[in-house]
Amino acid sequence: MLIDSETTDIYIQETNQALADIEQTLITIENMGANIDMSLAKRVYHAMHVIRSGASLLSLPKIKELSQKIENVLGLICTNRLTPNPEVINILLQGIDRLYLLIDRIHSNDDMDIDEQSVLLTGLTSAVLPDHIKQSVTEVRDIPLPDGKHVFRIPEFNLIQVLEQNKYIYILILDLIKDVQEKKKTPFNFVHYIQQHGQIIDSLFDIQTIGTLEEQELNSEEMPYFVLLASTLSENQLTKSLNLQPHQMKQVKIEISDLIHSKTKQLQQELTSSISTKSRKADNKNRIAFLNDLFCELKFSTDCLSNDASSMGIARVQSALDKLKYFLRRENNVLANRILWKIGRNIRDHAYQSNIQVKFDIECGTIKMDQRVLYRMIEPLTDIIIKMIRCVQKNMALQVCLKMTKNEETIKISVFFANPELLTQEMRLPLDEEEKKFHALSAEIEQSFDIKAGLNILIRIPKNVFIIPGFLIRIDAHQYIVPKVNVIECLTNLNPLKCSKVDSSIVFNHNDNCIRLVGIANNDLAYYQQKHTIIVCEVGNKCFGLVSDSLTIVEIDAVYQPLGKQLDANPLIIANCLLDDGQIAFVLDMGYLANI
Amino acid sequence: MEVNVSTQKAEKDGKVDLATFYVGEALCGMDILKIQEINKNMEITSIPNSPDYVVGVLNMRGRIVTIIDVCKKLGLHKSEATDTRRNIIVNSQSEYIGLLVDKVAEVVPAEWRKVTPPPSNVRGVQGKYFEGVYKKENALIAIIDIEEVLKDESVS
Repeated sequence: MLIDSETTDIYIQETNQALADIEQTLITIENMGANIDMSLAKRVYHAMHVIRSGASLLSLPKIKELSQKIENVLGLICTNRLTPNPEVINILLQGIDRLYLLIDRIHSNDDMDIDEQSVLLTGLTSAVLPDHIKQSVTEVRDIPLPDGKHVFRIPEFNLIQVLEQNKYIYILILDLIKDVQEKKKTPFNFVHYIQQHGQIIDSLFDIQTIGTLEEQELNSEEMPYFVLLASTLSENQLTKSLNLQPHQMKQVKIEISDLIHSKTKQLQQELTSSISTKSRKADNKNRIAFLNDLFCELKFSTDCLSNDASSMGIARVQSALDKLKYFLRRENNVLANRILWKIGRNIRDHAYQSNIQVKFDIECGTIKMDQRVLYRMIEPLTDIIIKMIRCVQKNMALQVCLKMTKNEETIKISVFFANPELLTQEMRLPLDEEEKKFHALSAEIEQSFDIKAGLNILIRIPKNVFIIPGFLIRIDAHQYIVPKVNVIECLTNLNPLKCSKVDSSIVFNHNDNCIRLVGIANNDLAYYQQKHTIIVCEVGNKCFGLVSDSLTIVEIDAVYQPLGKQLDANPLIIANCLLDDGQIAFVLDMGYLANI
Repeated sequence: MEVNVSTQKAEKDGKVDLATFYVGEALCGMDILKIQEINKNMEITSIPNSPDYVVGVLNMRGRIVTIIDVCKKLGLHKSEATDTRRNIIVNSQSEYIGLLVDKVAEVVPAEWRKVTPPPSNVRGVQGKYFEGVYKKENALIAIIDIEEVLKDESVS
């Protein structure tokens, strides 16, 4: 801590207030959708800039870095390059949450990491930039100070941003003793004063050499304070406005000449056009090329298989299927945080409605999971956390953490209180419903309680699950999954079902087409007439209507569970799956039904 | 603790604790270490097109377990649904299988050396389904060979 404790206290107070305002405004911006009020976005941007400048002044590197990254994203929103959709706002809110924690622990020297938030924010920033500019987000430019001892180390992206706004970049050489202490100003007033004339990109002073304002005897009569300022004012105008001597200011030109001449132009040109579309098109092109290759291999291997069902032919088909599986996994897998952030929103809503103080901290790192699984985890995880919150007295400030880790086969999700001392007695949550929902995803859930660690809910979920997109239907007393790939059409509300017997088949007329009906139990006309729904299916070159008792058809992403060995010989079903209510449904073997 | 039934077969010396149970009127037993759990969960989902000895499948805490009616599998007369019926869950070839029995009895300490080879017929059941017979004070315990009982399920 470099400045006196009073300054730090003011910073904490002002930053907490600013963060609360920023949080509220971001939610308002999100609710506005496409009709964003740019003045609100700029207000948030400015507030974050003030937080960053303060962190820079107080030498708080993590707060400075994180607020810089948030500011970058806000800058993109302010210039219409990034739409503040819920995902973007959530990533910003996660950054805000982490800033809250960093501010909370400003005195504790707690080495809290900001890696996850940084990755997400940097990813968001670089996602909207063209490929050759992306690098500027992580590339750092050294700008040496006149004292020859120190350098400003600034991400190129930040320099490009201010250059793009036609601002000049200056180094201000100030003195905290003469300009602040002797003039009875506070350091923050001083910073705010500078900010009225431009945007502080960074600032620093050499505290090791000269001591702090709080120390009785300073090592020097000067306390040089360097500010890297971006301003639209000319050198003369700025000198006058800030009441500086000419030697107290130096314009930065040579060090960034390449950025001024090349990258600014490129950025301006390319950002105005839809650059990201290009990379998306390239991605799509690659995907189509891959699928085309796969199609060829499947075509040739099945041709080969029909002539000679050798093990080589089967191996070729299997190899193509493996490639397809890998491709689908890559396509469906997303960063867990991109979807699970919604839990944080649900918890915020719950806290607001219940008038309680809850902070939610989610750490997923760079873990990727199938997005269909992630979406299904939102509800039970939210319910678990709400049940945990309800265990604690209403007037207590809580922080619930969700941490994800992975190993070779499994992903572990741990949900716990950051302040475990809140629970003094052992407790066990009733999680029957949540358990069923996790079981349906092939996951296991257990809870433990320890006086030191508190309550911990641990969920183990396989890294890769086989998902069958299908329709859930009821036939007689059983529930079945019909794979979507085989379904052409669902005809509902047909009871009484008008069908007739032609030769040995039961048929149904639909749009001048005669559909052969298939039932699971028997071939009796009366049986078919009682049904409500026909699922028109196509398997190979055969088309048929599967009759069902369901009044409505439910779409489902069923998680595959293999049949037991005792059921291998059952021709009707090829797999099981668990439903969210704990019941078991069977995946129908459509090939068998087509041949009935 | 997961114990695979097949890995236990060779161990035929020393002492053994037999978990005993009734299949119809026959008192049967198996090494207690082969048992994963015993439950009375009868929320079993029947499976169409399955052999009659396959009672159905059970959701055992997220794991789908096939339940076999041992009485029917061994060709005994149809057992009646009573409150005393239990599922004995075993792990066979990395798969959990439930054996539906009529009643679970006591645990009997035994010695393998006192187990005699099974006769060709035990209370009307083929001897091949048993590892042997252990004589208790006033009863005979037929030690079930789980692998043999489950072996032909897919082709039955």
